[in-house]
Amino acid sequence: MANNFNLYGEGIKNGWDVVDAALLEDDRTLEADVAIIGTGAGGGTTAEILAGAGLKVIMVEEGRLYHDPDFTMNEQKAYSQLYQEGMTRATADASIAILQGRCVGGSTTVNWTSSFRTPEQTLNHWQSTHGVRNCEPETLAPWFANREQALNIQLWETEPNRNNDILRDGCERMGWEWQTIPRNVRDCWNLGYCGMGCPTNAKQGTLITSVPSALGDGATLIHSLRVDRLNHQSDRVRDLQGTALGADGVTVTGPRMRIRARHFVVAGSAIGSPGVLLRSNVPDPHDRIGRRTFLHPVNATVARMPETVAPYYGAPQSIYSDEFLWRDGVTGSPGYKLEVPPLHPVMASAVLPDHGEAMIEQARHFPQTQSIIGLVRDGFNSDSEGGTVTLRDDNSPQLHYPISDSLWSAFRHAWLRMAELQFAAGAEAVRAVHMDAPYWRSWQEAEKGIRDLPLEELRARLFTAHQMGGCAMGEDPTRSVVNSWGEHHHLNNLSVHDASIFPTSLGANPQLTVYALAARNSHRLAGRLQSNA
Amino acid sequence: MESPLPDPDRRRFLRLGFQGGVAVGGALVVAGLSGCSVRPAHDPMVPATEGAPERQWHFMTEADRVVMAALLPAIVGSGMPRETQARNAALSDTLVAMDEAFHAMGPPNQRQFRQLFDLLESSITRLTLARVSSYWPNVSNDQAEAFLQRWRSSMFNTFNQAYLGLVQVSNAAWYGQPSNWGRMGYPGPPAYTYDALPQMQPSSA
Repeated sequence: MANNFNLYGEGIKNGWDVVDAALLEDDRTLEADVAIIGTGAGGGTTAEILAGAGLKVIMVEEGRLYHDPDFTMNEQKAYSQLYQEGMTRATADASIAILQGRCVGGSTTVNWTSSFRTPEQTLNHWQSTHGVRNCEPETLAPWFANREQALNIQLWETEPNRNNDILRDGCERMGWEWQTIPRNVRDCWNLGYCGMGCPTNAKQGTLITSVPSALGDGATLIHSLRVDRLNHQSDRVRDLQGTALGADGVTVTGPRMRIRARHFVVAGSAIGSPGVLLRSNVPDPHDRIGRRTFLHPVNATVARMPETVAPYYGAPQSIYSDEFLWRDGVTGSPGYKLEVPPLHPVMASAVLPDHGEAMIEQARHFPQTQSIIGLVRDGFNSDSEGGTVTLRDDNSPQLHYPISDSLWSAFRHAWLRMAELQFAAGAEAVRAVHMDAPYWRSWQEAEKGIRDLPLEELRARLFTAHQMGGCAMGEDPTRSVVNSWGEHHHLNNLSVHDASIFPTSLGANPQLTVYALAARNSHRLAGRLQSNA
Repeated sequence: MESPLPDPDRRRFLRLGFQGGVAVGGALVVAGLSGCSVRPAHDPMVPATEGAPERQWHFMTEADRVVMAALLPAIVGSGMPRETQARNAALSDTLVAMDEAFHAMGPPNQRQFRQLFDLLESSITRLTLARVSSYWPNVSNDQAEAFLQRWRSSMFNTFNQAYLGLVQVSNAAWYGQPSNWGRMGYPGPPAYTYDALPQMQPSSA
């Protein structure tokens, strides 16, 4: 059986306060102790803890409420409903496609469930180089454990699907390390459709964990409401102002909403949170908002295997390799994590940049297709300063992300290792996901081919599913936006609780780091607000 | 080799923000095109309701549809049915899915695609930038293919972006239709889930 089918239907029937702003006919003003912008890993966790502490919480979500009755494993529907810009978000020069959730639960509703603790090297680097305090590995360990227990995060003991198994096989043959991925699932059916919304409520994202918990504790959820700005005066935010979006998630319907609160938590993601703060003109004397945004930029290879891989079935990510993650130390040439992506027809056809007979040929071999991705650890070395979030003419946020030389060199390194691994695991042919790459028939051919590939924007097809930074934490206000607890340096009743507070990328899929920091910072915030009650 | 663009404004003109993105169709709403009722055959989530006689297009104008009707056969390749009625139905379904995708991507990306379509539809830029000599209704498959290859292999990022935008939205709209899953050897969600999950029952919506 699937878990708690139609949890929201039942909850709403039993009194959960869920407001669909698309149905508003008039402007409305609400009040709460805390208004939280965003319901993903950061916002959802914050809502759970603050509502659990007895505070009146309002969650505001720009995306819509979709849940298991809507999750039918249909790519077109899922991508247009659950992802930012209908899955067409990209960096400003279009060189990196941005996969990011936009729905209740945020990216936790559509992620592939990989749940890693923050690497110790990363936490130590934040402390030694970015002025972050109280984030030592031993300080955070209980918070990781707390969330691992709450979200049932465990090693995936089921046999990996063939797509992941090939990564393991290849590592074994190359003598490279590999490990099993911890996943935040309960009673998982091993279907393979995590990216389209979990159809069985197995995935323990905020959609079925923290947000329902907060609702059960009397919180209000308002979805389909875009936050235009935070109005502030001297050192306090007074209220937030939002615009209702229609049932299509796009059209502005007219009604506006104003929410007054004692405290405001921004958790709208590494692109959305800087967007809100920039639109609100919050004090930023050192021009830090939206700076140093990181992506774990991803490049990929695809292999044609002799056997059926069926990359569309089974837990999408269960094996990874950190063989090259720290290949040149923490601050040397950027290393990368190796993982695999699930592939379904729309994703595959959009990722492989071809048309006509070249595309037909790839489609014909789709069931035999295996893919590996390299997630590059950006933001640690001196030429990796990340990107900058700015506002477009219509005030929507946009990320400019120049690709530095060291990143290009990491991509080439990763293409080589990924192709080598795939041939070692028995691939008949391998191609880099690059406009100028053919299918190579041997590792020798691939090695030469990859060395000759032009390292150019758009020719290389690049992706990101992990957006981080842009509201960096740290104790030095000239270099950061919030302190090590996520509290804004200049506005007393404003916090940021999402991946935007990371001073660098992580070197691991970010959801557990966001959950743990949000849990820790929310407990502190609850104490603060209760003592001021 | 591409001839240089006439002015820098043109390059900005074509800057497409959707690039690289996995462009994806919206829900395949029940809709009709040219009186031809369109309903995806195997999607369990689309209820078997009546097709609307005239579709309200969100984004694509008639001129856009003419351009895509000329390009889709070259993009989709030999997968496009040859028989007229089947071909028209396939084109209709795909254009509807593309229109839904354009709608879902939101205003900033729509503006970029609007500029791209305007460029393709103006005779001057069609001739000078796309270098397509015929009016779109008369463009042959070979001409369409040559155009796509020119923009794909162009040394100008702008044309690469435009190529990727057109091809990704088209491929997503084409291969995302349950009736085309078989062309990729994709069986769809595991068969048992249709019985085991309430939302996969045909009556649910």
